[in-house]
Amino acid sequence: MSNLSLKQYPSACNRRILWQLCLSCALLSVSGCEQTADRETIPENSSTAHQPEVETGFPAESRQETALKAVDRAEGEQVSVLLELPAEEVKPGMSFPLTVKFVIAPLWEIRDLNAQPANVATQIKLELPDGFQQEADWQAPPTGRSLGADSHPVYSGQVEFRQIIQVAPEVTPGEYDVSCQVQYQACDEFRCLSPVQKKLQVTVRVK
Amino acid sequence: MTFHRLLSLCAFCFYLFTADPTLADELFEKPVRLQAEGKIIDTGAAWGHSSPCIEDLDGDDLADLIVGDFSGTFQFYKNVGRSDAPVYMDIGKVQADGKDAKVNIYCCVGGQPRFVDLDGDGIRDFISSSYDPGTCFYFRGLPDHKFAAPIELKDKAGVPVRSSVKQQQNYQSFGSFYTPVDWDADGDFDLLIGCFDGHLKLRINEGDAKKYAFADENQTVDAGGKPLEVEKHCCPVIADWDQDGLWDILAGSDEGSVTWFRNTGSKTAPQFSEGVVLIPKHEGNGYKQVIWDEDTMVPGIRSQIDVVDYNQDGKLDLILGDFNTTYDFRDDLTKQEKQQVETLLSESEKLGKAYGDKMTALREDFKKRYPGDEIFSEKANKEWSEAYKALKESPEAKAFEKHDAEFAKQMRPFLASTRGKGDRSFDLAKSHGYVWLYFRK
Repeated sequence: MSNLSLKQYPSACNRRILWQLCLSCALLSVSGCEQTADRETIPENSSTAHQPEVETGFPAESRQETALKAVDRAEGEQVSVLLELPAEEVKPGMSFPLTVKFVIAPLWEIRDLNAQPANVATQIKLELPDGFQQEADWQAPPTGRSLGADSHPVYSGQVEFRQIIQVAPEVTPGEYDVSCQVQYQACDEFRCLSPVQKKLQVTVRVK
Repeated sequence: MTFHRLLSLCAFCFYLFTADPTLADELFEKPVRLQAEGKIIDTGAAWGHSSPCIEDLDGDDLADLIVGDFSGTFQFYKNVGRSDAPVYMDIGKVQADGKDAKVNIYCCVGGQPRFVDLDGDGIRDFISSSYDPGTCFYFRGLPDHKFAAPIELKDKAGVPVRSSVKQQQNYQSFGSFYTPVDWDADGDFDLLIGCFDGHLKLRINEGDAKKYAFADENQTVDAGGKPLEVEKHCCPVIADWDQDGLWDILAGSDEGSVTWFRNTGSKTAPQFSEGVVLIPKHEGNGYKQVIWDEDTMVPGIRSQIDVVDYNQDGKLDLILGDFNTTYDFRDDLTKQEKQQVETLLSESEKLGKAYGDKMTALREDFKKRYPGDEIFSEKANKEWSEAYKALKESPEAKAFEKHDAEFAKQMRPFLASTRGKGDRSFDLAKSHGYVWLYFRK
């Protein structure tokens, strides 16, 4: 498991160009979310949350909509999380972008990456197969301020954390699982909910 | 009348207006913070939210102090003084089944212990509130002043006793407070359930003093002809405050107030008059307090209380746990440095208010336009994402963010210690949770 450190606002030019190139591609495959927390925030969602799915060949916009619905926001989910990869098959020696997208409901927020204690902080940890390596630190979006009285840093609305994954030249063709452990705690103006852990997984084809 | 005389008169009138004695001044001596081993008790390291309770925990006929807090554990302060003049020694955490007794808390409240012999075996047990799941945890008393592992109190149908019986969302009972009371004077203990939203419920024990069997419904407790309510976080305790032979309800609140609800009913059918505020709410939001003189310090927010005749003078006194965050200024700040701090704080407050007002307006707009579960609709979500992004990019937000890092940088030299090492104002003020004693006059 890669326990990755996260820094805000990296601005490497080459990474931006790579992002633009990669995001122009369609998305390859995405799984659903697997709840691994002892206590789930919204138990009603567990039926969909425990069913990983693989989708291929969707245009980006369409695939995003499907993913958002898959986490069942309609039943009152405060936060949905999506792991996205580009649609192209990956070749050994190439890089590909990876995005963890949080969609946080109106009036709700999640803590930032440095919040204390750590069990209420937003955390993103990648589990990469052998030969896959993160290229740099995560690109984290700027935080906002809490709706609560102490105005601590938080995220709300739609936020994306971005990462570049390098595939080593010696990786052999085949399917590889890329997993991401995500933890967050949703709070509104008055209360916080149980910290939630989710495991998201995508399958990457190396050709 | 000259301008200066007029100004002086205005100032005097303002003083009279603002310096009117409150009921608290009439009822209580100036509150003091309780100490243990010569130090002021402070649960700040656990993010405060002191939740005091007085009980003879070790059976030496001296009432001890037990303080719950945000950690969900309970600190045992043994009384090594006299019954009418306690002196506390920190013994450590209250144990249950060989481990630290603990309830699950990660937001907004402290674990509130209440002692009671719930199973009539002659040994005092204790119950505690929890934040999540918000149910009541029962630590059965064992011989030799020990406690069993906690169990969740359940009703006769096997459903956990909680403030929201049929929950639409699993967080609806979060942050409830429980206190035992023999509501109907039938010899067993019923439960008062203080709700996170400030209301108070009653769960009747349909069993007996030896074997509890809680009803599967709550009753709403009224006061003054309407549902009893305080400003959120209703933390109730019962005591015969006016010593008329009927127990009354006193309740802490999120805003730090303490309200007395006088029992005007009978021993078997309690009724309550409208609340009388004994301790006014904390002025301000309890965060980032500036205290230049500790003698002027008053309790913060989130009052969790107990009532006891602390000095055994025949009058009931009030014990109040609180929460606040406060800047820890250097002791040796000069007058000029204090002025610099005031200027920094003033500017920060101004920018923070501008940003905060915009955020409040946005929030209120969404609450109004998307009531209930509509807030989770795709439309609301899309609009919120866009509006929140626009808010973060607003001139007010940018000005605040730009200023905030500079503010933190400029404030640090004036501070003896800080909450964290970050570069935000949020990282500066330190959390505290004191235990205040209000002696009744």
